[in-house]
This record gives sequence, C-alpha cells and structure tokens, in this order.
Amino acid sequence: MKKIFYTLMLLFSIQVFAETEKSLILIGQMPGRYFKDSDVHQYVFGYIEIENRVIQKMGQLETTQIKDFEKQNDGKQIVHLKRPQASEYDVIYPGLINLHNHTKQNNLPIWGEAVGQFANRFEWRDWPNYKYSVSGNMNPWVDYARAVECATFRWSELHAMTLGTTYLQGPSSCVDQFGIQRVEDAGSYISAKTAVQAPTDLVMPSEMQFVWNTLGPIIRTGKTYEQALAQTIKQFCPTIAVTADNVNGSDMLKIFKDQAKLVSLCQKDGLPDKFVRYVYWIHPTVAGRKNYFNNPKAPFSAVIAHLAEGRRDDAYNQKEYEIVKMLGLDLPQMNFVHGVGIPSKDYPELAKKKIGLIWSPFSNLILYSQTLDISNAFKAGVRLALGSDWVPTGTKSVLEEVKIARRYILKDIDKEDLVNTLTNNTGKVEKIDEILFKMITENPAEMIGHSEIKKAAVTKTNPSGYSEAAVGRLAEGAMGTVIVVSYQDKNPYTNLIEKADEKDINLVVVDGHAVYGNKSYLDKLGFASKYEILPVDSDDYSKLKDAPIKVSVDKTPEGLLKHLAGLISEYSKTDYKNTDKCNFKEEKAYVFQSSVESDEDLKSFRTLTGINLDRVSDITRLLAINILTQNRNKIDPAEGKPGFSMQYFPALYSCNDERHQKRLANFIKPEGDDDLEKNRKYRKDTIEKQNLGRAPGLLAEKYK
Amino acid sequence: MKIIIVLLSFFVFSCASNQLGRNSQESMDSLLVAEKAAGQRQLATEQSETSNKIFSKIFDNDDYLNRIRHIGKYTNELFILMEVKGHPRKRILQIFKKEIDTQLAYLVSIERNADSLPKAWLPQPNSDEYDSKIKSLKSISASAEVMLQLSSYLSATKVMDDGNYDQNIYFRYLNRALSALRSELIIREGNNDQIVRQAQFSFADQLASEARLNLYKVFTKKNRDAQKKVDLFFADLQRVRTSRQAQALIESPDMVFARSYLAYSESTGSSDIEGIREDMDIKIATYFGLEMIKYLYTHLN
Repeated sequence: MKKIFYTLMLLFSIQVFAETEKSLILIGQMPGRYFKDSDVHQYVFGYIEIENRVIQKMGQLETTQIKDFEKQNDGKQIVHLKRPQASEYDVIYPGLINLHNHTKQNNLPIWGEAVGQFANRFEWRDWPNYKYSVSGNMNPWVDYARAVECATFRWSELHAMTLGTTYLQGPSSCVDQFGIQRVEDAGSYISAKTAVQAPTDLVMPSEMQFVWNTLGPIIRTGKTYEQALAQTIKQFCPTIAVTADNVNGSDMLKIFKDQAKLVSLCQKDGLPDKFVRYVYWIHPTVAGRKNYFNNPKAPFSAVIAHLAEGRRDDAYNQKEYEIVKMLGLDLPQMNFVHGVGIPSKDYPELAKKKIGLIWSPFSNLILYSQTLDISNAFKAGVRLALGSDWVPTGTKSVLEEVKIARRYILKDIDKEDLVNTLTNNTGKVEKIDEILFKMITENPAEMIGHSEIKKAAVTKTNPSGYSEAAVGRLAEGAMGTVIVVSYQDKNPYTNLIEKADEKDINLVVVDGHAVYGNKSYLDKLGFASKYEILPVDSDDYSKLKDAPIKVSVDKTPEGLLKHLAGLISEYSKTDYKNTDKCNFKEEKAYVFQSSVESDEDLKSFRTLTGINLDRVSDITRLLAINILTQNRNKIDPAEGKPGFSMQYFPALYSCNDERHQKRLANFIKPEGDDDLEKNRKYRKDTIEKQNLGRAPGLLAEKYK
Repeated sequence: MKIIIVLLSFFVFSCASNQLGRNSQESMDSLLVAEKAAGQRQLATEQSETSNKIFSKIFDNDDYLNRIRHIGKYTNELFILMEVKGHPRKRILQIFKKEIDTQLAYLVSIERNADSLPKAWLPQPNSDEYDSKIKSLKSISASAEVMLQLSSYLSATKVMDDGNYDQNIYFRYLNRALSALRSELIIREGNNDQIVRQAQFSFADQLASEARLNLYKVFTKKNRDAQKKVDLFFADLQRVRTSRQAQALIESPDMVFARSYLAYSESTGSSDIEGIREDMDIKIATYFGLEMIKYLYTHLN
C-alpha cells in the first residue's frame, strides 16, 4: 500500500513539475535606460528572467559573477546571448510595437505609380489605376477560402517577426499561436482592460455629410452630438422615443439597425440627405466607440483610426479633426493614424487631451510628398508613435520605417529646424535616436494603454503575479516579449535605429517563448530541428505570371476550393529554387508552431490541398500561386487590366526583395538628389498628366 | 447619267452612315463631354435637350449589334466608375454585365456580315438564326429588368449612394437604351415572363453564391454552427426552381434564423485598407443579398 502511495506521489510530483513553466533567463546587454542610475546612452550587462509570460527579475551582472549566477539558477533555462565569432554580447530590447499596418495587402509589390502626387487618401483610392493595382491583384483569389485570407495575414506577421516587431496592429484572423502578438487582441497582454479597437475609418467623407450639413449647425450652437442627433431623429421619426441619453444605448441601436423598421418609422419624403444611411449604418459604429470609452464596467485601452491622411495644405484634410470633434470623439487614448492634415494650432489640444498621432513618414511622402509637422508636434508634447502602413507605399516593419524617419529628420528637407527641436539645440544625433526608439517602444505602449505595471496575487488563471504587465520596455513586471539584436554601435539607440536590419534580429521571444531567431540560439533553447530554416524566398515564383489563364467556372465555395486545390497541385510540381541574397552569417529559423491543429478550417484545408499554414514555405507557395495566376487583371481582362497584372512575387525578406530595397535606399539620401526631391520637382506635371486634383477640390467644396 | 448620280448619292450616303457608325464611339465620348458641360451649367432644359440629341445621334443610324455594344459600353463605364467596394448597385450591375458580355459574344460569333446589317433595333424576321438572336436579346432585356427591380429595391432602403454625375449620365443612357430595346421586343414578340423568371433565378443564385463566400467574415469562431446552418440555407436558395419552392423557403424558420443573424451582424470594424466600404460590401453581399433574394422570390414572374 505504501509503495503504491509513494509511487502515486512521485507521479503527481513529476506531473506538477512538468506543468510548471520553466523560467527563461537571457544574459546579454541592455540599454541603460532600464536601470536606475545608469547612463541612458550606455549599455548595462545583465539578465532578464521570464516566467509565466512576464519578466519576473532583471539585474546587472559582472562577468565575474556569471558562474555563481548560473549555480544559483540551476534548473532554469539560461541562454548566453553571444553568437559564435561575436566579440560582444547581443543586446536585449523590448519587442517593437507597430501601431499601423494593413495586414491583408502586404504581399503586394511596391506601387510604383505613387510618386507623391496625391492630395489626400480619397484621391488615390478612387483612382482607376489604384483599383487595378490593388483590388485588381488582390481579387478574386483572396476570397477563394478563409485559409487564403489567413495566409495573407500570416505573411504580414512574418514580415513583422523577422524585423523585430512583436506587437502588430492590423486586421487579422487565424494568427493565434502563429508567432507574434496582435495589438487588437486582449489576450496579447496581461491586463484588465478591454481590447484595443482599430477601425480603419472614423470619418469617411461620403458618410459624414449628414453630420456636417444637418447636425453641424445644431452642434455649432453648443449642443452635443447626441443632442443634435436625437433632435433630428425625433423631427423626422416622431414615434421613435429617442433622447440624447438613450441614442447610444442598446435598445435604441436595435431599432436603428433594423433598417426596414427604421424606414417604416420615419417620414417618407423630405428626409435630410443620407439620413437613413447615417442612422442605420454609421451612427451605431459611432455609438460603439462612445460606449467603448464610457463603459463603467470595463476600463478601455485605446482606439486607433485613420484621420486627416494626405497633405497638410489639403482643404478637406484640414476639416477631418473638426468632424471628429463634432462627433465628440476627441477623447483620451484616441490615436489618429497619419493626422497630417490636422492643423498644427490644434497640437497643444491633442497633447492636453492625450490624443496620439501615429506617424508613417515613408507612406506619407510616397503618396503626398508631405508628412507630419514633427517639429511642432514634438514641441507641443503630442504623443507620437511610428507605423509602417503597408508594403505598396510603405515599409515592412517599424524597424525599416524608423530609418526613413531618421533620414527625414536629419535631412530636414523643408527646413523646419527638426534637428535642433528634437535635440534641444544640442545637435546630438543620439538624442534623435532615443526619441525614435521611444516611438517604437514606450510611446505606443502608452498610447494603447499598456504601459503600467501593477502587482497582483498569483492565481491559477493568472500565475504571473501582475494584473497589468507593461509592453514596450524592460522591467520587472513587463511582458516577457523581447528581441535580441546584434551589437554594432556603442549607443544602444543608434544600434537599433540606424544599424539593425533583418540580419541582426537574432532572437524573437514572445511571452517567454522563442518563435524565431538564429539557429544557434534556438538549438541552445532545445528546439533542435523543430524549426524551419529561412529564408525560403524564390525568384522562380515569378515565372507563374506566365501560367495559362485558368478560371473556375463553379463560383460556389466548394467549386472555388476545388479549383484552388487543382492549381496548388499543378504548380507545386515545379521546383522553386531558393533565392538567398541575404547572406546571413548564421541561419535564421522559425520555430514550428501548431496553430493549424486547433483550427478546423485550416486543418481541412491542409488535408485538401497539402498546404500547411504553419510553414513559411507553404504560405509563400500558396500566396505566389494565387496572386500571380488568379488575379483579376490576368484572368478577367474585361474587369481588370492585363498591364497591371503582377509580374513577380515580392520576397518575404527585404534583403531578397531588390525593388523594395532600392526604393528604401533611394528615397531620402543625405546628400544629392533623391526620389523624394524628384517627386516634388515633377509633382505639378504628374498631377496634370494623370488628370488628378479634381476630387480633393470637390471634397473641400462639400465640407466648407 | 441619272443612274450614275443616283448610284453615287447612294454610295456617299452609305459611306457617311458607316462612318458615323465606326466613329460613333468617338462621337459619343465628345458628345458626353458636351452633356457634362451642359449639366455643369445646371440648366435642366438644356441638359435634357443635349441628352436627347446625343442619344438620337448615337442610335438613329446604328445597327442592332452596335446598339447592343453601346449598352455593353455604358454598363462597363458605369461599372468602372463605381467604387470597388461598398457600392450596392455595383453588385447587381456586375451580374447584368456578365449576362450582356455573354450574349454579346454569342451574337458577334453568329453574325455573318456585319457591314450588311440593316439599320434597325432588332434583327429582321427573315434573317438567318433569327430565333437565337432574339432569344439572346430577350435574355439581355430580362436581365436588365431584374437589375432595375433590385436597384429600385436598394434605393427604397435608402442605404444606396446617389452616385456621382458621371455615373448618372451612363445610368441614364443605359436605362434609355434598355427601355428602347424592351419596348421593341414587347411590340414584336410580346411579354415573356418565362425568360424574366429565369433571370430572377439566375440573379438569386449568384447573390447566394456571393453571400456564401462572405459568411466566414460575418460569423465569429464561436458561431461556426450558426454559420454552417446559414450556409446550407443559402445553398438551398440556389437550388430553387419553382415558385412553390421559393415560397416555402422564404417562409421557413431557416429564413428567420438567417435574417436575424445577418441583419444584426456587427460591423467587422475592418481595418482593411477599404475600411467602412469593406464593411458595407460584406453587408450588401450577405444581409442585403438575402433581402434581395427574398424580394425576387416574392415577386417572381
């Protein structure tokens, strides 16, 4: 009996130990800013210990202390972040945060027709050439199956991960347990706050005319949006018992969302223009945002939405912030993407209201030849973070975006005294690098409401010991999501901002688990061969552009899936030879994930087509086959245009993507003529040649 | 001598007509610019007069095949002018466009000698393959009728955009060309409810197919069972071939279930590049798609 009891106890103990998460200790260099009394522009050698998703301990170490330290931490997983043949330890940084990305379209190539000619985002979105370049290449294949759309989202995650981003904003589904974290996913954090909301649009000109023309005059007399809307609805639909207090409430929204009922309750004629459309379609989303901010039961984190994207001098662009104020959405933790058109006189108000701006300089300059008034924004104390936007007119990650931002500041092409403003008249470039570092770490953390650290009791569901664990910094109580980067510069900010690119991202750790990195580190962490060696890019995929036209006759979901399976089977017979111009000193690898196993759709897709969406090579092949052989420009010239059909499949890694690299390199050069200057020089001619300029004028007229 | 003068006159007249036919495209474009200019001066009478002149100039001297080509061109131009996403009319215009492309390709393939076509709206009764040509034209007309029915339905919901000036020009010409075709067909061939009914089934089938493709965007992971149920219901709608079947389905509990889910489906909050327009597009494809099918099956010919 005793033997049985002790055997059972032993088995139970083994089980307990097996379930307890092993601590991960990383030993390397860190920016001094994370240590008290340290010079922020120097490194500190030390360690971080991650357990239960959180950095539980961190501290300085002398090299003489290492042996003792290892003895004291026997049984824990300890990794020395020193690569073979490196003279210095690598540097640990918090995982980078990208607050603006369009995750579905990053498998498109650079959009060469954007040369700074547009006035605002509505101008190019309605341009036929844009429709052919983007929609014409992204459709119809992206709708063939949910799994295909999944592949596009995962592609963006891979971009982010290989370039050090661990929190990525953008619409995504089926990216759980794939690699990095989604900004909008509440599960990405240890926090009591509700999920970050990130609709693309707060304000669409075609939808806001009702607000501007009908509610605007009432609001300008001093009434709130709710008062104006309730008054207007009451006027035209007198039987609806709407008031300013209940117009955002669930009972009233239920009536509004029943479009047929709404129409029946309102008078037939004489309604203000777009009244029904606004009340049925737009107001519920505005109400949703208000309710998000006003929910007493659930503390909110943040909202991210486009606003005023385009030129500073575009008349319509300058009005969008005014419309937001009319809606009553100028609230703390609201963050505007781009915001270039917001007049700089409003910056102090943005700062006071804790409204952030997400800056995408590359995309702004490529599309509009202008970007944010950084000088005044900085002076006013506006919260600023960076976003990569999207590959066609932007970068693949904030690690690339920040380099464009740096060049823009240093060149100061518009003579806005940027260097002096950002360095407090010292001219010290490392100060600029520190500010830019904050724009991809601490600032976005604050802007999304995840910069606090609060201790809490350990529970079964939350064994971390914290109720709020910050992102974007290294600290006890911060999320254990970090990146490890090669040491190349004595200044820790310059090291990352200026010097690091994809060859230097040596380890990506998410919530204490390695997902990507150098083979040697992954082997040390016990992954031995349980990873996929990267890159798996291939120039050979581009030959698919010459594939014969094959169209599915059966447009049902089953028919399209069958057609897709046929294409994959046929085009997978080709041997796509690896293209590797990256010449990494050490192989990189992506740790095998098992997200497909827990998703029925992806599992059955794998059974039908052989494509495993946990493998980079399979994702690459699926996307390449689809986008090159099934884009509308190719298969339906009546609706697409063959001249716009994709000619190549852009590589995942920038070092294998020559066109992307060339555009990055040539855009802002420290000396001499560059693409930005050339775009500006010929801007007027381009507008005339392409027959542009009318649409922004019409918009400005509507919003006088 | 007199005979030579008559023959020469005939020759000159015939060349001028053909020239107008071949150059009618260029004429149309420049005349449309004239209409736009008139419109921008916002003189309703002037605009209407210009419209009539343009329309007559394009059609009066043209053969039936070219008139169908014009319809195809107006449709195509209108289609391009509409927003890529979120435009309610675009979705049903697309279905009509497919029909006209199909029928036009067929008519061109069976046409023997285009240059000798009589200058009239419809093929002459004693011409070759008369029956199949008329059938094709009836198909275009029926499809147009269904498209306009659904367009009116969407207008009545008041969620439709008004369109812009350019779109309205093309829509106006399209409407006039189609009603000219329809009136001629009715005069010569009489009403043909059967072919309109076929068009109604075809539209419903395509609307259902589009809706099914979008369902995974509307339903969350937790609601996969509900998604499957709604998907099966759309598939059933695609199999309808009789009024009885249609009636049974639109009065069924499955219809109530599908409508309640789709009507109140939350906005995707899409941060796709198309944002609100993407949301609207999904809504049109699914909820309004279902409503349009219901409308068609309630008003079956």
